[in-house]
Amino acid sequence: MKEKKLLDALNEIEDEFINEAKPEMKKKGKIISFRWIVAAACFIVLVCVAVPLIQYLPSQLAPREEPTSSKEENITTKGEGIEATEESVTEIIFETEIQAETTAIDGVCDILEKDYWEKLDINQQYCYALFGKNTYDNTNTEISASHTGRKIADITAKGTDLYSKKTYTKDAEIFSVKSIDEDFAVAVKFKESSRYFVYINPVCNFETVGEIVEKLSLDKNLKVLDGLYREDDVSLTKYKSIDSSVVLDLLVNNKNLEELKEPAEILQSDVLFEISVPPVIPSAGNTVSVSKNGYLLVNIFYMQHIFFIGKEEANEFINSFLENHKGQKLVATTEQHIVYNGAKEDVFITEVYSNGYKP
Amino acid sequence: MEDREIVALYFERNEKAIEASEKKYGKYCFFIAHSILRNKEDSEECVNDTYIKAWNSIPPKKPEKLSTFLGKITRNLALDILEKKSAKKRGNNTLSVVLEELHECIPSPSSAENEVDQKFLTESLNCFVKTLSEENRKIFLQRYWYMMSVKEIAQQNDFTESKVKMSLMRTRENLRIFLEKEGVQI
Repeated sequence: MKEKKLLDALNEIEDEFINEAKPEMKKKGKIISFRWIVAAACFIVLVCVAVPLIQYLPSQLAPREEPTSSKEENITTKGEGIEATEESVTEIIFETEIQAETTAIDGVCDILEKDYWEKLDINQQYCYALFGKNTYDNTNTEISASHTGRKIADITAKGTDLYSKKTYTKDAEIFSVKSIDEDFAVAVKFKESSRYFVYINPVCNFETVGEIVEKLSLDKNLKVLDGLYREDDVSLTKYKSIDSSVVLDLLVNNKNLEELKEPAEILQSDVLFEISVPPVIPSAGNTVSVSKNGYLLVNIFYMQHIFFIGKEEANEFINSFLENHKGQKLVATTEQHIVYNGAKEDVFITEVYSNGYKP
Repeated sequence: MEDREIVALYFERNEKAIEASEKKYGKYCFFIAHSILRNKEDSEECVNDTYIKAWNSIPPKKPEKLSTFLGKITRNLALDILEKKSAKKRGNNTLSVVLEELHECIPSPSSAENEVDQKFLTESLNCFVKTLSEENRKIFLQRYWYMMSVKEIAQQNDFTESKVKMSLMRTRENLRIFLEKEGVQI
């Protein structure tokens, strides 16, 4: 159809013109992304519920300070080899996500669906776990009972239905996950449910590379899914079936390196490995990478941990990896193909097999 | 977060790239999708698919301007969804109205010898929009790129609807003449 061809050709018009015609969202007013609306609704709930609560709670909570402290002591002594045999009972509050985005507050409840709370899975209703000094995030990952360890505590979970603004509570228990440090992840089991959900502390503190290996038991749990080498901006080589020891050795050899808190530059990965840490992080998206300018980057559950291994060692690792592995070279071309969902692409990948690689 | 930082996250296969894209451009992509699909659920799905497609495209692609890169993907996906829907149920939807309007821009068959490819057509369109005044170019792209209705364009720019209609009509006519002169056969 000729008109459609014209419409499709318009898609690739210069960015400058697209940008120039970009509508101003403020004037529209009615079309607001759902996420912003939820965030705004959370903010309202925060203002209406949390602020009076903050004013009221300090005097109510004061007598509870002692049991909380003793719980923290239990965790500390466990690390020194004394195993806690008694289950520590503590009240933990789960909160729905609160983002202080103040735009688009008007009419939020008009757009939320009445039964949106019922449609959420239980771990989404109670998506955050506040425990001790940590806040654990729901990961939507379920594990079997056999992967759980000791029971850590009984808890009362709280979540808020943003439509009705009602707050619900639910009894639950938290357990450790076998071979995973409790500071990084726990398993939550809600009352009347036999399911265990993994909650992760995304800001878990890893002082050194060794602590990452230790807290996640990477010697047992690490799986390397894929490798990627970036030759330049358009040429990449993909590697499959990589032995996890390649990545594990890199981490263990640098176990004493301390994390850099504020790297001075934007870091680009030159060799990157996509990893998973089953059962707590079964999916892709977590990476270990090395840059030619000497950095080791570890991305775990949205958080990037940066270490400096030195330019020489980084390049030695990269060269050794490339010499000993066979990859599939991906080259960008300007051919047109029909790809995902029928949409058209202008720049595409031609697969060129190199170094004897067979897919 | 700067675009280059978000693109760097895509290169590192860090899922935070999607979160950052959504935070920075979710509203923009939703606007594009909704202008075409006029349906909240379909638009949300379309925007989510945009991130998946971006995830699968970067690397090797390294977009300089992430907003238009994501916007183009959203527009393509939304048009595709709409086309499929239209195939099932022909009706007075955005796509069919826009296509009807664009019919006026198609040069007569005798004006060129061969059909041009998409790339050449895009280049011709780029040349054409450069010849337009900023105001007419904006109206033209808001209608045929962002697929906004005449009413929305008028509200957005504080114009009357008749002014927008008149501008579009003249631009369509000028486009037809331009394509004929350039020997572009669609």
